[in-house]
Amino acid sequence: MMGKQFSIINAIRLTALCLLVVSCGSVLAKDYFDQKEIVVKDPFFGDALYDYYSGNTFEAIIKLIVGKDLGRVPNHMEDVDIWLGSLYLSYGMHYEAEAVFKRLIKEGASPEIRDRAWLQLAKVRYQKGLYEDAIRAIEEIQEDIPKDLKGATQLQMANVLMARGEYQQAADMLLKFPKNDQFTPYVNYNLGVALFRSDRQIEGTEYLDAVGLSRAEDEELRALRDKANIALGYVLLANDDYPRAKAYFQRVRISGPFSNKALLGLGWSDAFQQDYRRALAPWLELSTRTLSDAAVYESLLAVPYAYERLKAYQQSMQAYETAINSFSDDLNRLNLAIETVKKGKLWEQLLNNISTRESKITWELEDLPPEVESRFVYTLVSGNSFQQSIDSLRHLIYLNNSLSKQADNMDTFQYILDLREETYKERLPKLAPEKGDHRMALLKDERNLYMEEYRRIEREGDLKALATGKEQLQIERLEKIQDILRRHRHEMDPKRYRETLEKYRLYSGLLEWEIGTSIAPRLWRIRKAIRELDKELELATRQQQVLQRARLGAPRSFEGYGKKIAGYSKKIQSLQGRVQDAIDEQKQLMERQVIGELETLRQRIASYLDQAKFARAHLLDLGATQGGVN
Amino acid sequence: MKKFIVSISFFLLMFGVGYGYSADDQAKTLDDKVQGLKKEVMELNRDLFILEEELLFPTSTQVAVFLSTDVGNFFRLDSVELKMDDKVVQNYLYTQQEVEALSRGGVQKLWVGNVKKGKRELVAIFRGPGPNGREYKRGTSFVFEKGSGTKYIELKITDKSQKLQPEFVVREWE
Repeated sequence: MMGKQFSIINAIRLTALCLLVVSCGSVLAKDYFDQKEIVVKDPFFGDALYDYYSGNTFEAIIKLIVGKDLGRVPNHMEDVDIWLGSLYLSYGMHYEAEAVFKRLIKEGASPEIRDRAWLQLAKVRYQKGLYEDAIRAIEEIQEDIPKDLKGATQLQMANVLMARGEYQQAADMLLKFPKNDQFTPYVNYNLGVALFRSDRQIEGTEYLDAVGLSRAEDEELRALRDKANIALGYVLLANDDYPRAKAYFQRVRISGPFSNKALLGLGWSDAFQQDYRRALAPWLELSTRTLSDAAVYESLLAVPYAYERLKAYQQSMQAYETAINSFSDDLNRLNLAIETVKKGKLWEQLLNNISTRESKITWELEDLPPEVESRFVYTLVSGNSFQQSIDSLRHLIYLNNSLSKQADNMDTFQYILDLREETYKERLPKLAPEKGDHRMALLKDERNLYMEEYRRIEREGDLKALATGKEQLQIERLEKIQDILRRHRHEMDPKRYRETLEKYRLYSGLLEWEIGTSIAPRLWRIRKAIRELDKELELATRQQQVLQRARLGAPRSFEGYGKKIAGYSKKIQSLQGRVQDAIDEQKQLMERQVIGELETLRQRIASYLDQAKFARAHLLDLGATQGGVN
Repeated sequence: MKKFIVSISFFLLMFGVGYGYSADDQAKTLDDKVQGLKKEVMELNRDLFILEEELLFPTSTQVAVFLSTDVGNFFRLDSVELKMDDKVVQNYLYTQQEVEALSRGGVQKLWVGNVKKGKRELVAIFRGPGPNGREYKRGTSFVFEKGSGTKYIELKITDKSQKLQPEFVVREWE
């Protein structure tokens, strides 16, 4: 009897500890960094953010790299690096992320950026299991930092310490975390775990109890609340405190992800108090549920066990028969599922769902082939390791799509280039440089003639040359009048002649005075016109030179781009092959993971089946000796 | 009997919580390989991004139109139509995720194209539910001088609190 109880209690303790450990890594799921408000000062930086927020991390990374390399994000140079590092991290590129953060730190970034980079680096190292390095990175973060960063740093440090098994230090760290923060439930959960693991059960219970009673506003928090109650329930079962354990199990939602474990625990709380009748209620409820986890399978054995304890041998026998049928049925289904995966049919639906957009490439449980029932692989598929594999596969498929698109682009670019070359060759005769040069020479000669004329006018004070068009006409008319007067002087009435001569002299004088008093502005206007002419000639010369250069450079440019396109096409082709190989390798790895999961489950169910058959035989033996069972 | 059943029960429950296939050495090697491939494809895409711009949208003719939103209490963007010199060059329908990306500070590169030097007119027509959820259609135009350098224009949708109306602002980025 003592041995039996010891075994059960040990199993309960292990269960409780297992529940406490599982959630440690989830605290940083909501990252503080993503919540930082960004004021966009360069459109190209905003463009990258738009892609990232739209679910296209790959495109966002490319745009950040291009923006940085082409100097298009001068106002966000530091932001770009820290974003780039973070995006690399979220795209599963730990090495690149680490290189960016190290560079940031080396280049002496501003204190806030430096600290954020250290924190991100600590995260990378934590994820890679390099806990010592992660702690060194956290120790580089300054004391005087913004509140949000401080919180994230403390959480990260606590995670590292817990991963190293230093629960006492982790608890001390988490005890300093500010209260009433949005992360409080996660902090309290981990704090409860850390306290339990450092043998401070009373304090640990307090924190887990607080989580178990918290007002959870979203599904993630409700699940956390259920998990805390389940953990406490099993801890109390291990401590033989069955009534309190029961109370915790009763807090768990009947339809939540932890309800199966709660119902099983609830049954055990009563069973340990010898109340098998009450234990039957949750176990019977559990046994009607989909066989999706160990707790439901367990119930198929727990129900007949309770009947047996109640001496209801007939019902017990029937329940064992039901269990044997269910286990046998599931074993057949598992065999079929394993065969299906081995035939490479795991990917059929996924491959049908492929889209060219990164954010549209998804893989859900519904995408599994019907032979591989999701209830068999739910735990594996929702696990971190498999999710990372799915991400890798998703990314590889996107890379493949991107390369195919680029291969098409290369054909388009080459076509455009060929078209331009053709157009160039057609237009080349019209761009004959000798014609242009000759025309330019004529224009320059003409300009020099104007300049010489200007200098003569200036030197000789040639008023007539400075006259405007209207004045030129007036001068011509006056000259005609002078000629008439000279030729007809003797034929004219002397008085009329004198009067006309007087008028002629008056108008000539006036005109001469008009021009003579405005020589300087008239000469200035000519000089200005010549200067403008010089400018136009200079521009025309430059354009002529540009045209000449373009004419000479075009064939080299066509050749240069042509070589580039050929080089890139070759590179694309080589990458396509390697990416396809990696896709195949990734698929094989995941297939092996799924098969491994199915085989483990098959072994487990086979063990259940043996157990049920053994129990049925035991009941039959009992019937034979006591006459209680037929 | 009880001992056997119950101990199996807890043993299985315990592993039922977190049993799974842990990443082995092959997974690690493959992860390294995938990371290397991602880096190479990214470098290639970076080069091709620049090549595409050089070939298709040279600086002398390039015009890029960006779109951003602010707050969005009085207007939710459903679609935008863009005309350059009275010719439709872009018609864009937004998904919920894209609208959220804009509201989080993202700036969409709505259109990039080639335009000759001189005076040009850009017209943008925005559609979507406006104040009080009624269908809203608003246009805005912008005349600009295309010179020899690249021209970047931003269309910004903001909330005008005083009038309880959205406002559509166009500006050039330096």
